[in-house]
Amino acid sequence: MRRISTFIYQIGQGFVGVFRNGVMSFASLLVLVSCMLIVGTFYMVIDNIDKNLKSTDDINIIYVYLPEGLTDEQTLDINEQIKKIGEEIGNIVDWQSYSKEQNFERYKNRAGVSAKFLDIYNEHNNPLPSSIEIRFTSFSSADFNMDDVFKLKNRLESIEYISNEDIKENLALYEKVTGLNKTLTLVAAWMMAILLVVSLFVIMNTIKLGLHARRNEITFMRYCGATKSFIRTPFIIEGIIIGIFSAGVALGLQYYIYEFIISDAMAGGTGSIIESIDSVTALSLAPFSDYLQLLAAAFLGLGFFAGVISSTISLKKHLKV
Amino acid sequence: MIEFNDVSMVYPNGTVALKNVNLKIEDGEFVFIVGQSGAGKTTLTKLLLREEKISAGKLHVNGFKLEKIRERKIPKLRRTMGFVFQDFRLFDNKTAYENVAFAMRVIGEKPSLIRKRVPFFLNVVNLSDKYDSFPDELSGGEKQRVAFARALVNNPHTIIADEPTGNIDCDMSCEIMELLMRINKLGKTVIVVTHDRDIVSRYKKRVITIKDGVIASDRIGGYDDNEEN
Repeated sequence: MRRISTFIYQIGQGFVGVFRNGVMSFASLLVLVSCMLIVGTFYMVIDNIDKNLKSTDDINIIYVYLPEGLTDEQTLDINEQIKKIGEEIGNIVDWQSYSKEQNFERYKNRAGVSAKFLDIYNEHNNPLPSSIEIRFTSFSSADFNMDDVFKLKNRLESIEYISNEDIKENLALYEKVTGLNKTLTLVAAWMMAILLVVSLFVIMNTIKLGLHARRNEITFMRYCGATKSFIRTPFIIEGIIIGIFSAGVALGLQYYIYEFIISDAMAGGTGSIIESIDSVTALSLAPFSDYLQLLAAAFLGLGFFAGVISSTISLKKHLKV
Repeated sequence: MIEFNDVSMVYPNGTVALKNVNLKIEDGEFVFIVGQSGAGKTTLTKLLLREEKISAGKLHVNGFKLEKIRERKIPKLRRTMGFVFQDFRLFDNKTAYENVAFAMRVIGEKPSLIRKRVPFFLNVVNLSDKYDSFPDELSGGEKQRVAFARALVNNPHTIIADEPTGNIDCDMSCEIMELLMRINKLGKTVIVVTHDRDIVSRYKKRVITIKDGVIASDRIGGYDDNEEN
């Protein structure tokens, strides 16, 4: 079993290696930190957009506005047909009918202090129609299926008395945001993959330089009877130190980027993200602490992985023991 | 004990370095290995350290069968030998004490044992007053003595010295040879690879001459010019 003093010595040698090739170690750190920041930033932006979208109240509601002049029987018939569709497709959670008067009241309540302009309207000239609001399975639910929602919409359109113009939904917004998220994920994945490969190469070269600088020492260690693991471990520790230190730096920078840059951008400060999404005026951001544990684990994992893999490949390629 | 049985060594580029070498070195022997450059001396020491693998034959070194040794056993084989390089190979950033201690450190010895044995072996090579000196503060002979202390500190069976007098003056050479004799008297097998005819002739020890990869002569006494040329 390896002695603790030997292990401490090897850790010390790992640090010596990091500082011996200071410039290359710094270059490795920069590339690895960039890689981690891209992963972290994209993840948090995508997750925030997603959460906001899914928590939007009316995102999973289809509104059916009933034409003027329908009789009570006809309205009842429409409700019956919706119930039947729900049973057939199985993705309707509930539905609610609202009369013209109820809709007028709800609109007034929603408008709040600016509802004064509604004073010109009364029960005789109320411009709002009756409606049925159909709530389907939530987007965040495991049972959610976009095809079922389109099927539901098509079936609603086929109901007698109801035309396409009478049906309103936010599926376009959902599709647009989901599409944006998919694009962002793809861009992030590519950038991460490229930077990860670059960082592996930079760390490999850092280790290679370390091997070159210590070639006499390594020859001597071999001739003394040092084991393969004794010679290799300091170089692997060197890679791990670079990886873990990069994770720490990346986490600190990520906090700054999230709190001061992403917050501004997503709150509409620069408007770039917000303007691309119709009908959303500002997004509420999850606190950084929500992501801290996940990011710390991901960055440490990524740093550890990059350090171990690159140093192992470099040792396998350049170290004869 | 070291025993070569019909050992041949061919490098991957086809160069035949050793051909059917048969050789036996008993424990506690003192042996000079001589020969011109390219004769196969270096290859022979590399085979002993299992730096290179034999192409044919059998090679037994200090109880290890090198023709079929497992990779994980190689460090154990090397621990039975102490190697001294012609150019000393001391670490400039380490003191004499640290250079010797390093040889123990790399095989995972306890710090308490290191503190005990390093001063002892520095005393053996008469460097008790140079513990804290760095290599550039030492003469060539002193550097070589540090290298010997470093080779001895792990208590090997065999000491292999590659041109130990190559980089030092005549007086120092004699001093180093006397040190090697003392090490030999401690019961260690000593193998000295050298070009130095004077040294070989002065000490009436076993001399193995290698020429073109074969043992040209194996005799007790001085240098045999006819065999080498």
